[in-house]
Amino acid sequence: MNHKISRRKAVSTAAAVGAAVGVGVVAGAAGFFIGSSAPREQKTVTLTNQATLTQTQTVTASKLPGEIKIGVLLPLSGDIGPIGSKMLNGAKLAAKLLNNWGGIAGSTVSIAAEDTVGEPTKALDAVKKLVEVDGVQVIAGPATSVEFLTIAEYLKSRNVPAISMSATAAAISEIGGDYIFRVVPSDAEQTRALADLITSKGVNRLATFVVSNDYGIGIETGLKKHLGNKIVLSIRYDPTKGDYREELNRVKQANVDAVLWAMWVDSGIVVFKQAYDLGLTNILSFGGEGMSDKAFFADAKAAEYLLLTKMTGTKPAPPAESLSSKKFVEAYRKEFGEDPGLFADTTYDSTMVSALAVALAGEYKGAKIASMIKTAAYHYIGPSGQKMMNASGDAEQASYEIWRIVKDGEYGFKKIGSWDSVTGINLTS
Amino acid sequence: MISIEFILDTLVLTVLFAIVTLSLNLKYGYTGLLDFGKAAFFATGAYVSGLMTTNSYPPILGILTAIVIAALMGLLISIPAIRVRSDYLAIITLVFSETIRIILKNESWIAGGVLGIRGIPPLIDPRTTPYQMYLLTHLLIALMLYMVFFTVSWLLTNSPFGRILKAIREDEIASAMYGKNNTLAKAFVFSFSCAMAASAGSLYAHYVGFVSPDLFVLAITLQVWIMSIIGGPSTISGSFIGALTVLTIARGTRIIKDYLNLPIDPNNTMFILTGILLIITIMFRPTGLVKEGKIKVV
Amino acid sequence: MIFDASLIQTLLNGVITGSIYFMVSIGLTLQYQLMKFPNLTHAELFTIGAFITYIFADIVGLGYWFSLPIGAVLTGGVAALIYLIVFKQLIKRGASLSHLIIAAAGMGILLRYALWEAAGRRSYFYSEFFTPYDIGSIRLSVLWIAIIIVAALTTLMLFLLFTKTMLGKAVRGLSSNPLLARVSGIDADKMTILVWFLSGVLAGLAGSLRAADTRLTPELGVEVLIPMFAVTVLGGIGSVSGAFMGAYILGLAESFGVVPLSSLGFPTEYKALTAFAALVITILILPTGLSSLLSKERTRRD
Repeated sequence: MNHKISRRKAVSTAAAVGAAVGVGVVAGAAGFFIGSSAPREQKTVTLTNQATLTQTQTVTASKLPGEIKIGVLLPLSGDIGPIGSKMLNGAKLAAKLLNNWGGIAGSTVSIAAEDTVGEPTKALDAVKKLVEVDGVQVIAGPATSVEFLTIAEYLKSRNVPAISMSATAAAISEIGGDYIFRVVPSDAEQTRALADLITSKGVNRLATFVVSNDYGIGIETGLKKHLGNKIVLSIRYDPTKGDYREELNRVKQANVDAVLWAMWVDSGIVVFKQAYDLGLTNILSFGGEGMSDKAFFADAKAAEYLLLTKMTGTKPAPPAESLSSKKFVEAYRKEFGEDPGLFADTTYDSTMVSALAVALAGEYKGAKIASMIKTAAYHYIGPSGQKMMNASGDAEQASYEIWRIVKDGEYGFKKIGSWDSVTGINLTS
Repeated sequence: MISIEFILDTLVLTVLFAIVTLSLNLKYGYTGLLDFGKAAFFATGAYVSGLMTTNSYPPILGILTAIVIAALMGLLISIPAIRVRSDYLAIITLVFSETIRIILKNESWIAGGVLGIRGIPPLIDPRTTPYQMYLLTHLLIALMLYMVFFTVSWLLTNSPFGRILKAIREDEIASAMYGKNNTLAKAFVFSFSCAMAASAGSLYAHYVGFVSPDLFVLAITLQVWIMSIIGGPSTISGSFIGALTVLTIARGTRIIKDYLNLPIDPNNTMFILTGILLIITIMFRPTGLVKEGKIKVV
Repeated sequence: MIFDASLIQTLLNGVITGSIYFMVSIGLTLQYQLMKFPNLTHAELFTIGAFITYIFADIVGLGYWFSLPIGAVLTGGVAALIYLIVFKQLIKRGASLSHLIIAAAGMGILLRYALWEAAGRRSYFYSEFFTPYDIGSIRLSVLWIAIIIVAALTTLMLFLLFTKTMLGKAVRGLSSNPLLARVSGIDADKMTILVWFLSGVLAGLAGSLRAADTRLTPELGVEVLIPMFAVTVLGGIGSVSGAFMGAYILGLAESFGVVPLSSLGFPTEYKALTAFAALVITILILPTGLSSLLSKERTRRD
């Protein structure tokens, strides 16, 4: 048999196939369009109260679905999985309490969580699944700034608002306000707090040792702005390369008074272990909120290192401990049998604000919910404080707690002061 | 339930990756060149488009530039890479890909460093068009691009040139002895294939709106390889089938986990399944799902 | 004075890194020459060994030092199994070189993600505390000394094995000329299993040591993937002495490379490029590796 086909025939076949595919797609689209523009239904309910009323009343049923889903995007595995999986508890607690209080206008609240592994492409996948398969119209999360920046366009084009509980990069302010929100202040503020803290401890020579991503580099950049001349060495490390002896050696040789660490958990523990081994213990350690998590104590050497170098840092916190935060910690302990970890409170708040926005909107539609988020936040005071947002959707309250590592039988953190944008730094010990 | 938008979105990605897979098929399936750096060209296309359009150049210019740059890059790499035997080629291409990734990740003045480039304008404004239209338009554009490459590849391979490529794959020395210019052929395939991957990358950048050095990771290269092998590396239509299979598994596992309570985390399932599939394919059906056809010379 | 001491510390770090690279590359280089394809799965054996050791050390409770040999031997077993179940079958079915490389890549992914599944996506740490000491102005830890000693012992044992024993000579013969070896009565299959087993043992050992120095995660193998290949190619495929040289050169280059990098303000991530550069340069300039410079018998590869 002759399999030869002439060139002309080949091209014309391809063109025909292409045209057929094109027509098919357009036809399918048209059909879908016509189908999807069917009008919405309005339900009319007739009520009779047998005891006293003799008239019938017509009530429009609540436009909210029986189950209100709050999407949650968190890293439940990966380098920051240990922190993210605990953060989810904050969301779950919020949903549980809301349901205990009767839900929202009679509808129950449920959490639809997806794991982003802390990676932007996975985050995009996860958010698409939430919106297009689960039909979610409001999201608490994602946790990191890169993820947020990645999915922002999608959220805007799908009219689905998202409130992050921990993405602090300054860049997010540029795109925030309509669908992009957060219940934490921008790192532009935290680096000021850190700078003040570091200066107050009499540090003249500082090294920065940060993880090579948006979180770490954002902190390094911010600090350079405020402390420029004091920073003598800047190191950005690769969290996937497991050995940092040389980098640490360089720090040791630079004869600094202190090191500012911005690490993710797993790679961070390795750095501290090796720092201990290298004897880099005659310095003071400083860090941002990412450092104030018990996950770093998983290794005895790392924990000991942090203690020896008197690790001190900042983390976003309300100006004073409130009834809300006390109750939150109690409820969390009761439900999960342990103390809340980093950002559990902001995750809780982010979920709550989402739910409240849905209630204010009165219908489960992203665009409407988005328009209500700032209002909801304005009226909301949660365990992480007053959640009022500025025009860019950032939390207005930029106050930080100053914490320090202590060992009281076990390793832990103790509050030793505070900082806020008005009064500056306030150390109590 | 799964919405039509989800399916459309999966299709867009499938077609884009089918283009990249096709480029690998040409390189490996037909010419026998082991390229483990596919992600690099895909990502280059994405980055160039991203850089240009965020600096107010029109998207079409961005795409064309990306193609040209990738073709040149491919040509450049081909010079040392071609003279080297296949396993070394694999290693060099892998290394090349990783090098670019590390540089991009650390030099923020080049392209936003770790944060990448965001705010890449889509090809049509999603805010003034219904989402379905937005998806459909992208799908159509991707399909048209795929059709173009499909046709060109088909013509290329079902021709005397295609014979040369297969000859190179089967026995390079004999092919050289017959007077066919191996080096030129290889160089051409290299740059054409890279240009293809880059164009897919450009579209991807516009579709997703964001690029970051993570696009360069080895995992993406490996995913394309899996798509190629499963679909059939020495075929043209296999590229679509391979891409469809892998993406369906990837997305499917994320959805099924809600219904089936799988013991295995969906993030892992995808790779474990595709790894097993890869090995089974190589063992029992190394030509992939779509068999290699005879050359229909025109 | 400080300048000197810091350099000695850098030297020490380089030697430690080199030791790990050496041990993990031996298996790879031997397999590469024997099987003719780069075994991308080898990196996962590095990880598997560390995990097995962890199981015995911290879950069963035998402690790190006792579990180390157990982990190594079991890893060898796993390696042999992988050969028997996957690669031997593929070769029997006539798989081409390219196919084997791809299958190895696929196997590697499978193993790694199966580990992610079994271990969860987090890191583990051995509970053993390796005390660091100050010797002069240098810091040393018990673990680091152990790594260097183990590498030295390995070198010695391999040297004896390959030059003094019949077994070792048989393996060498098989690698350099399979046809002749078979004709002389060497059981190729048994030898191959042995080589895989040995590479598994060494990889497992190296992995356990590395994990103790840093942390245990399913990504452990990926960290040494490129350096492993760089060492193999740099040293010359099939040459243990080449791997020795290549490993220490690379380890020291990475260590010393960080010095100018960080003083020039470059991120230290670039030190990973040292391995890359070594690899590419070797391939382009001296594809047969360093060993071919020394040895009189040039092992020719097809």
